[in-house]
Amino acid sequence: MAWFRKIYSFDYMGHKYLWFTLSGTIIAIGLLSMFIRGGGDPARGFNYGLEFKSGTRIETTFVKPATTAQVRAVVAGQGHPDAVIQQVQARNGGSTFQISTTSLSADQQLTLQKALNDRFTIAPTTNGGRDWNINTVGATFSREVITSSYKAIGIALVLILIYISLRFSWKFAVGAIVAEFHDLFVVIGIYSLTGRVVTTDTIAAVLTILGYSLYDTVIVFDRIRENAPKMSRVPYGDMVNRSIWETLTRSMNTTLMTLIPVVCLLLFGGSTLKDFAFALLVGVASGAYSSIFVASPVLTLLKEREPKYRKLALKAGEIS
Amino acid sequence: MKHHKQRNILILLVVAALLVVSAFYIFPVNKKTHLGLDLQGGLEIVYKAALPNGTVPSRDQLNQTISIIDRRVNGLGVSEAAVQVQGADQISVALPGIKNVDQAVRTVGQTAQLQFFNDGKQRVSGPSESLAQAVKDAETQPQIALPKGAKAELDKLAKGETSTKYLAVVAQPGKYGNNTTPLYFIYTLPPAMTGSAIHSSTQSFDQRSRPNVLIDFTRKGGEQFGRVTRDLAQTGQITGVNQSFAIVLDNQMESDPVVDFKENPDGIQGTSAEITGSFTLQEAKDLALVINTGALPVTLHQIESQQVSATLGKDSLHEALIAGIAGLGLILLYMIFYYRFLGLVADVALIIYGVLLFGLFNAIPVTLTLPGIAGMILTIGVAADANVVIFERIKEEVRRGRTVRSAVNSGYARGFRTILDANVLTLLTAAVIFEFASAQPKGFAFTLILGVLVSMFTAVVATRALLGLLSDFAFFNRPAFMGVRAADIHELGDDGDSGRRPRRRSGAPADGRPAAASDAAGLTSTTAPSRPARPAKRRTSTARKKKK
Repeated sequence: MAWFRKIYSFDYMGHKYLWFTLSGTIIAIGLLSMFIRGGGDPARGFNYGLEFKSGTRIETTFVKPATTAQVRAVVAGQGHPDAVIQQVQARNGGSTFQISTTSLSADQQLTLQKALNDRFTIAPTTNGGRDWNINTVGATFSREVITSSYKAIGIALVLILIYISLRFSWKFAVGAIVAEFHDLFVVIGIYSLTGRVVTTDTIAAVLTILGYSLYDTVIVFDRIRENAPKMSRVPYGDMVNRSIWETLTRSMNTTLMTLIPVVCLLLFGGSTLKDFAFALLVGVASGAYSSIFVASPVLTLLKEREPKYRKLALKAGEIS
Repeated sequence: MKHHKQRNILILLVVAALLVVSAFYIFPVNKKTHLGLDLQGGLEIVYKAALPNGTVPSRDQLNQTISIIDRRVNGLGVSEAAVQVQGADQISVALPGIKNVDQAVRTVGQTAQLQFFNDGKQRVSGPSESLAQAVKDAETQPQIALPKGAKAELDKLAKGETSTKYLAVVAQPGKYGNNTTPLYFIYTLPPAMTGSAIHSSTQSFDQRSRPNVLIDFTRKGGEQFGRVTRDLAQTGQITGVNQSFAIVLDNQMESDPVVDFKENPDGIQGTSAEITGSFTLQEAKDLALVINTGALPVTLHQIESQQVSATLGKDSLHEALIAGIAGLGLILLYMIFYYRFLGLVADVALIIYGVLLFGLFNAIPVTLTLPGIAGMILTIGVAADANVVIFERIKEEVRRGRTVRSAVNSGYARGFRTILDANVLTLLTAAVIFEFASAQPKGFAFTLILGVLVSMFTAVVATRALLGLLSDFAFFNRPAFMGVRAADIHELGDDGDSGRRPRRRSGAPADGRPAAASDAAGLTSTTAPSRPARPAKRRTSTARKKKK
């Protein structure tokens, strides 16, 4: 456990450029993946869910035994030969299928439902309905989800910038915002790399990360704000190191406290909850990392340019 | 001190009262919880609303549309239907637990637009046997004078395109006189009146007990209708023939009633009108419904629809509950394991938090959706975070040589500032999501906002009152109760050490209150083992720096 004790005395700020290189590499890999998958357009380098494309997705359970091929035959017979048919985890004591097609009108949906019901009998539900789940999205909707997300991210970042500038100073705010971009790009990079489906829930999770990943950053910044006047003769980087050591336990515990429910959602939740949880998992972990390895180093870098701290750092031989 | 004690008791009484109120809102659970349609099954449709000319409708027009859809939806027997504006120009219709989905799709999805045309002044041609014939008639022998350039616009209609100047209308069999085949007409745009002129329409009976249709106009609509009908009546007096107007819904002629100029020489004034004729009861009912449903001031385009079966909903709820219980359970265990007695207090606060949040949800009432549950589960972590921050601070103060009681006080005072900053940032982003995101993320953001606010109360205010009261007991004044023990702090001791050293060196601890001799004597032995380590550590730390 000796290595573990070292994290309470490690010179984090002395290795600023190592962390910058590390984070830069991770982000570069993500961006590269976005470029390659998107065929030159990074915005297209994701596996977008139904909300972002137009189309209809049906999930239904049949009482009579059915195979993917049989279902495809019926769906194709209704004039949808390009439909994607997938058998998913069964429920309701039948066989459950997911059918994705181009956008269907209400009439087309009813005709298709009738054809499938005639052939395989759609399972009834307890409230007298049928086990027939359908989601249709038009092109307008997806455009609006994307534009409203951009708007939300922009506004959130500006508000964060203002708040931290008011409560701390603009140099802290810059550190926090760089960390935010780091977290944002790590999450979307991982989504592009793994090819996980991006849904509106993913967007909500990413937006939440913007606010929540600052939790650990605020803990460290708060301690820096408190230590700075008391340690005015110490190089800024050393003071930041000390602040990190002092707050490390609570940063790890708060991260753990958040990761526990997130991991539970990932393990036990259904598909919607899993979507949320995955983005949150990556974001919370990245947020914890970036508070120490991005936000604090950026702040130190900015502060060491101030004449007073520059002198102290030169004296200690930390910069030249 | 006495004063604090009274305040703490008061706070805990408030908490107890809130718990009772929450319990009242929570039980019986299955009756008082509002499940969203993703959890109980149902239908949700999102429409984009636009004015006929394509521009974004005003807030008033959207609200008017919503109240009309509300009326339509009420006829479907759904108890918790929700029709809401979403964003600038979207309307979402949620019908949880709906059984007859097909009927609902048709009724709600009725995106038709109701228009009235003055036959004498606006009918360019018709009745004709076909659309092509109607266009040809309009171009060769129009019934009203046409401006220049009309031919290009009329040709659009023949090709099945839409024109901004003219509208092709079809009357299905039985809708125009006693026609047995579809008949085609061309009218000039804009219509004399639109559905926005109508308040409501009902089927009734005239004096001879024949089914008729009553129309109630809005005040402005009544004036419009008065002008149109006066016009028709005056033309009727001149020509000696009763003039008619067309009621058109979604390019289909629904009725072509005449204005009797002998009965109404001045047109039909006031805010109500009656359509009589040889209606069957069903025909009159249908026409009333058409006028009602068509009275939308905007056109609606379905942009998203989602239908969830009851089975899928039940499964999702079940999975969410397991995830929530597992998450809460693990956090409760970890807090006790790590913070001992303090952790137990935090656990009590977490459970209070859960009960209050759930009660608040039902009291507002908030409809519980999957993203909402995800938000709730996440806020359990946020609530625990607040306690972690405060407790770490308290432990730090205890290690610094304070009595437990004063450590609790300063731990809360200092920890609170950190929590406030961190939570304000979470609240800011949640508010942005709530304002700008679409329906599902909205539920998530709202939960997050409520959760952060309630957790500030339970994790900070309530635990402080609880600890404040407990710190009066002698047993409480032992650092071991919060996990500050030689065996526990071995690693953390280094942390505390390095954090304390510079302060000692600079000679001015933040609180300006060095460990006093009057502080708990028992503490000396607790902090003692970590002290000798200090000089050694300091040397290694400086040495490492010099090497660089």
